[in-house]
Amino acid sequence: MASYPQTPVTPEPQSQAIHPLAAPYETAQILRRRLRVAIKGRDEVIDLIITALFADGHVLLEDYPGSGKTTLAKALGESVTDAEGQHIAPFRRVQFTPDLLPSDVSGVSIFDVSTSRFEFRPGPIFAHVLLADEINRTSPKVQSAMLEAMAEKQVTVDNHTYPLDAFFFVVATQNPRDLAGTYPLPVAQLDRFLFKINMDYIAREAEIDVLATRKVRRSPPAERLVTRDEVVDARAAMEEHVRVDPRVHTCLVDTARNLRAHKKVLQGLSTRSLVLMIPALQAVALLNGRDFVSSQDIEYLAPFVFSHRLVIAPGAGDTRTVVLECLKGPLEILTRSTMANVAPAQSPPALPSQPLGNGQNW
Amino acid sequence: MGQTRSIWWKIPGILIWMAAAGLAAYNFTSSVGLLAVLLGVLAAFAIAGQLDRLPIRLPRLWLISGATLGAVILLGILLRSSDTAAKLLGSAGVYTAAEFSLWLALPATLLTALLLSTTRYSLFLSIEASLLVGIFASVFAAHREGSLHRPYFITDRLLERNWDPLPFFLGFGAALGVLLVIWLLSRRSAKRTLLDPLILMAIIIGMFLALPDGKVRQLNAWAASGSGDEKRKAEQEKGGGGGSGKGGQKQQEKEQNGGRNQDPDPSNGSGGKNFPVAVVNLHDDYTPPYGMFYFRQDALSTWNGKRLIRDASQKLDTDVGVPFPAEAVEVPMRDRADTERQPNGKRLAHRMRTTVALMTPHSKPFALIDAAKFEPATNPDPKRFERAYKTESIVLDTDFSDLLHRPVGSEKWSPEVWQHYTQVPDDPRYRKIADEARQLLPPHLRGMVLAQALAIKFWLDKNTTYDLGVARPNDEADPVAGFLFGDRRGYCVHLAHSAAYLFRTIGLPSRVSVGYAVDARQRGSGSAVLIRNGDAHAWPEIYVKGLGWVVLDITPEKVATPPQQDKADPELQRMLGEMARQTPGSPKEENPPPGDGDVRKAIVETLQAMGRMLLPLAAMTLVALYMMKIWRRMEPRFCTEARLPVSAYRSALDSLADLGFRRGFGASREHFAESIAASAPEFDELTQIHLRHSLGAGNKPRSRAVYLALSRAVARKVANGVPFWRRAAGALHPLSWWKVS
Repeated sequence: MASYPQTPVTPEPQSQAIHPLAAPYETAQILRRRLRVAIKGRDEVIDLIITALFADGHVLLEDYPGSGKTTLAKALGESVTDAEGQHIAPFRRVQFTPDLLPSDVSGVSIFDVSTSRFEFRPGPIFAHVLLADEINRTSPKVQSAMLEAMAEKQVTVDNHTYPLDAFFFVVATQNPRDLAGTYPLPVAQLDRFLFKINMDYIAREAEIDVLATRKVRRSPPAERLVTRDEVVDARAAMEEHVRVDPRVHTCLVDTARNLRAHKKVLQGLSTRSLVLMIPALQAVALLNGRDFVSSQDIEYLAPFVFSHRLVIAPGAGDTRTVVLECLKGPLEILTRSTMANVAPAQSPPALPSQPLGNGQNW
Repeated sequence: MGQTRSIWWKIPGILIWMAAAGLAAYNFTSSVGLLAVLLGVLAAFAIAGQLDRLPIRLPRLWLISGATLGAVILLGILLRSSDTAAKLLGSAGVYTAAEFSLWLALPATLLTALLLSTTRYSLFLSIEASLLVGIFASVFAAHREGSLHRPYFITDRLLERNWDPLPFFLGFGAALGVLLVIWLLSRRSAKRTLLDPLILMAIIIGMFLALPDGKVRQLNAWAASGSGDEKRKAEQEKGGGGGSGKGGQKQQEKEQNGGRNQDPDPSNGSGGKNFPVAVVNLHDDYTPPYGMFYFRQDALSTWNGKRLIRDASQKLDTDVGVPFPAEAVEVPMRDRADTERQPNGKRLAHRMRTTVALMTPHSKPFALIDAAKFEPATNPDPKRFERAYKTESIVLDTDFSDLLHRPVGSEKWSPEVWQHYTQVPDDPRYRKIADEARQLLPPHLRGMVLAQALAIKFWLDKNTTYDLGVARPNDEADPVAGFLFGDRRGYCVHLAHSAAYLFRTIGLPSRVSVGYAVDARQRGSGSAVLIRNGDAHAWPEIYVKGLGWVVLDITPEKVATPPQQDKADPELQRMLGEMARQTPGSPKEENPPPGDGDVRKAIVETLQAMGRMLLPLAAMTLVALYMMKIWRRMEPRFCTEARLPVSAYRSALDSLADLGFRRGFGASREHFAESIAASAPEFDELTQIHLRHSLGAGNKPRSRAVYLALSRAVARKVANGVPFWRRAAGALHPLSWWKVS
């Protein structure tokens, strides 16, 4: 996986005039710190998951059993609290098996004898963070129910639609090996996931650290919890205030066109994937303490967002390589364009006098 | 060799390079070295194949190969000078070892570097191609100019076995061409398609410079060997025909070939353009009494049953048998006394010196009639003139009418010589015309043989038509009879032959001379006489006792084709005369070897002119590049505030490029900053400021000093870790800023 410069975690700035992105940035940092305490050696996956959360997408983890995905999802769910004390569970896990039924996930209407009415009992999907374990082991019927929930943030039971919370975030997993008796997700369904993250075994030092901090990690971290509203507000603020230059759009479209024209690519990128890419880029910029999307963000995210949406010719090798190959030209154009003598496209907003995040650049 | 291809595709390249390297080394080393060279080529291809994908920078690659070569050379020197090595291996062994290692290392290092370079930059492919062609061309360059016996080391072997070298060379060239094409194909990849025309051009130019340029020259070696006298003559005649403006030889050849007597002018290769062939500087003021300057190069006097040809025995006509002089040569046969005076006290002839500067190759010298002496002269301008020589001529001061009373022939002549100069076809019609002409004379003159000759001239003047456009049939038994007893339309060759036959009919020794004839009026008031190829001429001569050969030219009254329409440019004549008079800077270049062809000369001159033009252009470009470099570096000092984030960042980028740090293609700025930030964290900040300025919402205002300090800090801190020579090289590199952004 590409290394990404780790932005030093800095203490909260003593803000006088609050930058609109100050709160979202802080939220992201809290989540990051909490998750890093809970899971060792997965800093990049943590960042990607926070990015997906902020971009209102879902992630598909492809990894081996025991690599910490449940811990990760659970830690994420447990970091979120409901401000008004609603009854939505922070975290639910569903183990997908071939005999699972859609109602097992979405919930079921039960006849209440006392009221003589059918009453809807929400399923595990009514949670902030849902871990859909081994999603490829269940039947397409359940998969499509899941996917509706993911895309539309709603569940339909007995022809009645129940909305899910705006926070709703799915971490699905699948095992890259042991594919016998599975229902692999078709590309159309993979398209619903913002990221597909291939996890490898963690580094030696990190693994030692996992063993050493086994006890410490069980106690709740010192960081405060993040409220659901903070995350939902952060999404709005991010969309509003992290600047995406039109040249970034050009770069993305050109990359997609390159990919579609690539002779090894059988099926190229959908427009939806480009649309989904924008908030992801904004989230990654925010996570790195920037209020604009830079070429680095594209370079970093493109393999995670684009790779699993492509169908490439058999024997053509790694999708990641193909993506990076097609990205190079448009990215170089974008990078070079910053030298052009053009004034910023929009007048700078009233900036806080105090720096935010790691500082000087705000 | 980007795509993986079968090893077989490399074989043409290996073969070509083995041939080239072997040929290049052949003259410099023994068979051991030759073997080493061939092995070295193989090694180079093997190494290059192995290192194909090695990520090594090109300058470093060449440095390594150069260093290796240097080490091997050094080792060879040490080996030769070391006593222990001599004891161990013996002196011959040491020599062999040193020779072997040197010739193995030469191709193994340099060719490896070249081959590896071609896989990266297609430019090197054309360098490789030109190198190959250059090697082959230089080896076979000796074969040019019709020197069929060269290069010796090949032809000697063939000639020893009595084989004709020509098929060998043709076959070799064809095989080489085929191999080159296969080689180009084997190297082809999509990226290089554009460059192929360039390579092809380089190859064609190389071949062109190596191939004979059509001027087949005199073969000194054939003459020296003494074998094949006939061949030599044939070659000489060919030489005359191939060169421009040697009318006599040319038409003689034509006569031999086809019987069509032809003036050289309409048929020469220049498409009728009247170009200068020589300039003659007269050392005294002289105007011939007969109004024309005749420059004799050759004479035809032997009647071979059909027409007059050059005397094969070389005993007669010795006045035209003089080759180009290497030292002062007196012309053997000379009967003209320059001291003799006429009864009225006027002198008959006097000596006059001239200098001749040839602009086109000639097989023999010519001189103003009558030549008495040839002397070598320094070529005043080897670029312009083929060669120069001085002549001394005994020129007539008197008109033909003053000579009428004189007897003809020479008392020294044997009857055979008389017979030789008076031999004519056995045809009574010639006698008839001669008699007819004699009837024109007043009775008291009819007995004088020279008066009769004059009468024949007048008769011919009156009864023939000058016409360049005639074509005489090839199969005539006597072409002259066909002319004289036919329509009497023809040009100088027909006229000269007719006159000579008629003169001989009346017992007057006569011959046809060939060379150039220039109207005396053309000289004007200057001393230079410009000879152009259109001046080539053939004219009849008669032998007057005490005076030798005297011109009695025919000038027909009726002219169908004006002999020469365009007048010589007096300015050109004067200018060339001036040039021929100048003494050259280096006296060594006297009698330069037969120069290279005009075409090659033109190419060289063009290249020189281009060089003269390119040099200032290159200097100007260099200055412009440096100015651009300085401007980009200094811009943050005086650009607008709004531009500071761009120009300060660019200034820092340029400094980094000077030091050898460049952002890779498609890499993001942050990525690049990250690699630099270790030594100069300021660069990270500068990058962020720049990106925020361009992609983000803008920066909070900073003072110019901050930007300058950041930019300078980056340059200074990164430079700390760079060796001095690298810094100096970067600072001097005029193009280090190119494509930096």
